[in-house]
Amino acid sequence: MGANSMLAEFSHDLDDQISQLMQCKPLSEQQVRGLCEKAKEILTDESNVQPVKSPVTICGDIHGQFHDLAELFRIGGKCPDTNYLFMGDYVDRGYYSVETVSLLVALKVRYPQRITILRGNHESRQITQVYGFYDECLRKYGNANVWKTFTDLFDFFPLTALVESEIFCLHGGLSPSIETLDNIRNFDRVQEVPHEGPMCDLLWSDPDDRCGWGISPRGAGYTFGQDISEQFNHTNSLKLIARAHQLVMDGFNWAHEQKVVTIFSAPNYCYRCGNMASILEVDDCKGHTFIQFEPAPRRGEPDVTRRTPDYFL
Amino acid sequence: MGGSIAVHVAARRSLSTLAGLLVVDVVEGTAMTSLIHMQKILSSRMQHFSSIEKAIEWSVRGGSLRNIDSARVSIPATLKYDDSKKCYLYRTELEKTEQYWKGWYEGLSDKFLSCPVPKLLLLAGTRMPSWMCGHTIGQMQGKFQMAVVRHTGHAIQEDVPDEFATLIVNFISRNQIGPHEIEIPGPRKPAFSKP
Repeated sequence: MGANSMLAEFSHDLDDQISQLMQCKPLSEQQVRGLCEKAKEILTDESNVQPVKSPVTICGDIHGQFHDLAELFRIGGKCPDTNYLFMGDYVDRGYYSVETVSLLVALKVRYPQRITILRGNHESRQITQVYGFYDECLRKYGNANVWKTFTDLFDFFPLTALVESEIFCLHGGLSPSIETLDNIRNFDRVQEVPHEGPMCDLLWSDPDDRCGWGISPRGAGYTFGQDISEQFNHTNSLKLIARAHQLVMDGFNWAHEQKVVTIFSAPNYCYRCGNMASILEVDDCKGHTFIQFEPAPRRGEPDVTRRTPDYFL
Repeated sequence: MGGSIAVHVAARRSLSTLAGLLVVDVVEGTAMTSLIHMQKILSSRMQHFSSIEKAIEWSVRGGSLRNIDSARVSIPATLKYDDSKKCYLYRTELEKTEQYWKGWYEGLSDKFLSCPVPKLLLLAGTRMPSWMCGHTIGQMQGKFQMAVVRHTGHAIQEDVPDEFATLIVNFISRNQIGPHEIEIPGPRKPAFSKP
């Protein structure tokens, strides 16, 4: 009785938090801490290759564009009515990283079997200090505690997911150090994203038109050609690799003769790129449907201080 | 404007030995929106110096540099002595070059992205929020490496020379520029293609 009422009370609190977040209002620091502790417990039990059942809707980068995430839920359906798989990069660049990642984590805690949240290269201490999430936490909370709480939690996010044993989902791409899914299952993911090595590659690599492995222009990860993805898919009995990480103007882009697809879910990225966004619906007969969408109607963007530039001629 | 020169030269593809392109804190969007402020910035600089030491001192105390050791090396070459005024002045009268400024930066982003060699863009982290600068589409498509250097002004190579040198060495090493190739790690020997 006591345990049941405590659980009911927790769910009720969580629903309140989700309602608040849906209005783009940040949680208190204390609420964030409690939420992340609970999320850690749940994510600890998830695999580096997290199994996911269809039907499921697969989503790419969000990058703090909260109102566009709300648009995504309006178009794709609310969680938990629709199952979701997000492939990382919830924070940085957009103005609402705090609200975005808080909502996704809250939904994960509330409906753990209905939403899967993977790690992107931006779910990292080093990257978030440069690309905006750290500064946003300072601005909204007055200190860096919430940034620390979230970046500690990011270490627990699964690295990849496997939909119906056929669709391999991850943020970036393949690694020359990884041949089988068991290679991924076997390493310890609870760490800061390293600068190199297999864990780095999964979050940083990109597909390429050229065959073989290449040096990634990004400075981390590799580029991989069709021969590499074909071999990986064959070895692991996969039909498709779905990944995010790259801005594509239509919101999705096929590569390697429809064996690799890029999905990008932040429309008009950085509020100026003019791109479409998309999500991929995988139905329970394993049919694939891309749903494209445009940015949510803009409300006034928050003021971000612009300094007079230095002399640079 | 050095960054602009480098990009234009690289984009012409006339240097067969070109191995990489590194641009220090120059981005078309930021540059174009900043040009309207530039005459005001130039006029607010101290113009006359009784000695080279005074000019060096000003560049760090009131100007845009942060590293006195570096300023001692770089500032003297920017000055000339005026016999009639009996003081040191800037060698180059930047104010008079205004008609060319726009041409230096217009189309720079596309030219940068079109260069076929490995590219590194360094941005100073204390400028505008750094993630709002830069070739956003190109970076998110994975076409070049970007590094944001914190605690530095525009002249990254002067303000933090050690960090700057480390970034260059890592860029050269990662892109296998030079005579020795680096083995790719992994359980098997993958096919390797050069860009």
